[in-house]
Amino acid sequence: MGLVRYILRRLFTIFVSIVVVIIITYILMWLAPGEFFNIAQFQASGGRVATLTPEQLQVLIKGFEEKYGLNVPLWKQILNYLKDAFRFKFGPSFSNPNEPIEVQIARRFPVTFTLAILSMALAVIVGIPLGVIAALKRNTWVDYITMFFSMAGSIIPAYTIGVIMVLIFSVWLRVLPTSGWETPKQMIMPVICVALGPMAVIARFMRSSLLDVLNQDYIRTAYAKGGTDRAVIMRHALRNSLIPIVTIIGPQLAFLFTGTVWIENLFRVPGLGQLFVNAASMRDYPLLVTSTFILSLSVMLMNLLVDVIYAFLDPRIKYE
Amino acid sequence: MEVALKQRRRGTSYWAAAWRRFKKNKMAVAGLIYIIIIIIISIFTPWIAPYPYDEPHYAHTFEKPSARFWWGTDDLGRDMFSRNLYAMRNALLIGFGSQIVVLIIGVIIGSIAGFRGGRIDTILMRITDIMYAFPTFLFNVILVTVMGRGLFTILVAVGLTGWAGMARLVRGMVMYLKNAEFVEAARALGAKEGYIIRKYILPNMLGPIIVSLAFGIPNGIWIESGLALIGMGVRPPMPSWGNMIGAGVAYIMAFPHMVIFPVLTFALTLLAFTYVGDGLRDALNPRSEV
Repeated sequence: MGLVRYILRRLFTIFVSIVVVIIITYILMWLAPGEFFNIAQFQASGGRVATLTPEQLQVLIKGFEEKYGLNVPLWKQILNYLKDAFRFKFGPSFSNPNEPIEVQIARRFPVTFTLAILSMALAVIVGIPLGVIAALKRNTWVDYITMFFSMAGSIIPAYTIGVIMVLIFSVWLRVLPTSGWETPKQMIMPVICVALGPMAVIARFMRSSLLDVLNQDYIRTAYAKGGTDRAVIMRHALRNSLIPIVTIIGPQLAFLFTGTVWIENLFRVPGLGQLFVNAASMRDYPLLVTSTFILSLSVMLMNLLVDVIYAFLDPRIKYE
Repeated sequence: MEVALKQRRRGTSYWAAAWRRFKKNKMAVAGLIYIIIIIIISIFTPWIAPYPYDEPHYAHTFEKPSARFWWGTDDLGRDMFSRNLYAMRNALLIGFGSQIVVLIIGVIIGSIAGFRGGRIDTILMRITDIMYAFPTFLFNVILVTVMGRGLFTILVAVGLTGWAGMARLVRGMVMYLKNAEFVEAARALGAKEGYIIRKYILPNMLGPIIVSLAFGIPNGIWIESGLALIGMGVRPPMPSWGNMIGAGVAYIMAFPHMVIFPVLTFALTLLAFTYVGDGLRDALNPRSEV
């Protein structure tokens, strides 16, 4: 089966999955206790509802429901949302009625994107050499220490490490600011925090992948031909052991978009994470659905991309 | 699988051999001891804690650790040590409880899919795939919004979003085991289905399931604290590591003791559980010889 057909089929699966995910989200939100109106109104006008007469209130609620398309049956709401969502039109959110969600996202996306890309770059640049060193020096103290930190890095949540870093670098040493996202100095800690998790995973994967390759017959052949350590590792081992790394970088990158939520919260970085957190804590349903939509879409597309790249790198893999 | 099949090889059972392998892993044993200690502490928390978790001492706010308040006090003058104990208790409840939910849903769906196969299998696995694609964290947020922010509802929410991996694992094992040669042999000897499941299939699935649960516990604890950090965890004044860390961060420059203790106990607990999970994986993986 050709590449195009494979991608088309996968895209169709993604489409169906997203539709189901959105339907589930809508039903769950519909089941949630409380009226949509009160929540939004409370945020928009700070409790002025009390001064209105019941008639005025009815008019207000009607207008509100019309604005957010809540005056139609649930299935129609879902259909309307999906129709617009796949064209990246999400309508206004409860907490910010004057700005469409796609504009809010567009404004915050560059921040999260920069944070994610810088962190991923750091994770790859540090993670791969760490894994290689650990593999080449396996079962020595270098290996043990690297793997211990890699384990700790992937288990202890980034947020917790962030707090510890703030304690060390801001409270104790007073060399870095606690929060913000304007100067490079402010970016250091968030980027490192977000990078640690993927870095740990990459280092561990790189180590086992390289060890795996080093046991292959063709490596023995390369040594038998008189290759030096350096030549064999650089030319034969490293290149092949990098292939599996691609598979974890993709999902990690998609994961970063959720993983940055807490870091953005901790360091007051004005990115997408803050938007999602507000959506959750203020019960901003349109924003919550859209967060679900965007996150699941990006995770699935990223996985597809990884599978395609993977097949390019490793000719033995066939699209099914 | 080999060791698992020859369970009584030289008088050592599969579990005795596993325990011997587990004991060799020093970090795992240390983790296990730590976990046993915190479980015992958690059972007796109301008797151990010097103060109730919600008792304010307005004359003693933000106090540094002292003989009276071992780990200091927070912004309302509540004893940090007591609050940490209760937070640990809640974390363990959610960690273990959520895995019970995962176990029930995952095993039921996985074994039905594995045993029945065919159309039912396809449908169940599609559902599992979608569960996998759903951003876990947002799903949790939505579920908690719907069901409320109690300890029990959060525990159920974490379980409801985490069973997909277990279902896949169980399905894979069932599909392999139901056609395995030793099961076919038992069937040929006239063993009933129920007997085969009890005697052959379940014991062989136990190892991987335990390992998966062991890694699920720290994950559940982590999700709960993540929810609490953004204000979606257990309702204050009930303490959880997430809301304690969140509160501590607000005063981190002036009163770092408010965040140090919860962060350290939280990190230590997650590490302990993961080391035990690692140890269990090596010990219960029958391919690793003694």
